[in-house]
Amino acid sequence: MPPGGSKPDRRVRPSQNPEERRAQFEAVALPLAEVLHAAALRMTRNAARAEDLVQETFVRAWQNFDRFELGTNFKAWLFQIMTFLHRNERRSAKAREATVDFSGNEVLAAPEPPPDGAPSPDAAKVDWNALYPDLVEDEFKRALDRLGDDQRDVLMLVTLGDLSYQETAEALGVPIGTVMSRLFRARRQLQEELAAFARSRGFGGAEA
Amino acid sequence: MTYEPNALTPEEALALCQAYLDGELEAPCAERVEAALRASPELAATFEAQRQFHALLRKRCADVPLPANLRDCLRASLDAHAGRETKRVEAPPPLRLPRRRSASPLLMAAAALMALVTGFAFVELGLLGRECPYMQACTSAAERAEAEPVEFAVKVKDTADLKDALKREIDFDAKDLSALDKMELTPVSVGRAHFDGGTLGQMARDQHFHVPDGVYVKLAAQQPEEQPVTLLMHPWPEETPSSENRMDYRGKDYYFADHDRFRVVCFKTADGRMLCTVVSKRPKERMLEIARAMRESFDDE
Repeated sequence: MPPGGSKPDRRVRPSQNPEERRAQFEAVALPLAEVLHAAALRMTRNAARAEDLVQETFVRAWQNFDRFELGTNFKAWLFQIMTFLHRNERRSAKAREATVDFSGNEVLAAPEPPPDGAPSPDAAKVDWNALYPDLVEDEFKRALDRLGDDQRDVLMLVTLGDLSYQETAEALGVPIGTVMSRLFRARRQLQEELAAFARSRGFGGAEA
Repeated sequence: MTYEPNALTPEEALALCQAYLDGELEAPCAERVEAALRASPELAATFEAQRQFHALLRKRCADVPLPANLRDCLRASLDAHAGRETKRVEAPPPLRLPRRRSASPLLMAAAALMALVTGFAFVELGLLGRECPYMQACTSAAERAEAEPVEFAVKVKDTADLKDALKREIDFDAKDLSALDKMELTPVSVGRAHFDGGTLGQMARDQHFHVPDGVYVKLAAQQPEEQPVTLLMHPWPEETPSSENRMDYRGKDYYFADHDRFRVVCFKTADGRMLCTVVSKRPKERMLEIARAMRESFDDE
């Protein structure tokens, strides 16, 4: 079994009885509140918005719980709802900015070159396990914030949501290849930045 | 170093590293990667470093400060949703909000009144210039609230009481207060006060109601205890907001941002006006103090 091969699968059978259904919902949803909040905070980068987003996600999931497809991955479903809401909000915000900002300075981004597929060569020299206690939130957040929104979204869906590439692609409405590409770039960029930090703290990765 | 026939080269295996670690490879392919790892300790070390890095990312991403009562808030959201569903059936028919063509001192008094009864300050962006872009308007609104912080709650029985309180607490311009003479305060339900032909509503948790001037006021989101509630205020639209389409409203015409100690909530209304609610981010103790004062005031009535 390859690592990460076991995806959680919380099967639920919503009852027709409202009280029982509510209890069923809480039983499967509330244990995911923390990880959902963590992902929301990383995606929105704003504590208040993250809390709103998690609450909206729960409400939306609860509203649709009757129609929840039995046998599917509840955690992935919650993350997909959250992604939908988050992207809607971000799209709206961008649209509003577009109507307000008449500076006309928007520059179309050049197409990104395809990833070469190989992990950062510096990564193997770093003792990532030992680095954890020294990697404070500020340092990590700075690196995370430098990712593009799309990269960060993919990273959170896969890393915290345990979504498969296919589920992530569906949540974001992009091809699976795009998911793999964004994920790879996000990890690679973080790895390079954090490897530099690790070197500065003496956790390996010394220049050869 | 020799490789079995059909074995992956180290380069080929490296290209599959991410998918392998994410558990995305089919079993036969994963087995070929594992064979390549067995054949090359250096490759295995690279994969192990990647695995450790993925684990570090997962751990670090999840390591965020959690709101103390996150689960309670989520339960409350679900409860509130159930409550709104019931109320939706009882919602009155939609009415149109008469346009306010220009900024009015009445609005400032209204803002003060709302702050008085709810602990929140709100302003209409018309006061700040109709042509203001969204962001500038939000910032201005926040600055305005900052410049005129309303940090008190008093019991008022009549307009004279209210005028005194406004003068005393926020040094309200006396000439603006003349408008208050026309106002009737409705006792008991301090949440609703008639004002210059219109009616303002108190916003309470899990409540929304229709008021005669067409302003629709409701609680949009519940915040953790130490944070203020987020309030929405906009004209009663043609299509009645409900628990089902609330998110759609938010998605289309809703903006909020935190500026200093204030959360600013903006709406673009159906008729093109912008409304802005400024919610003070007061310390929890202060919010509780205000809430207690309000409750006592209501109880006395």
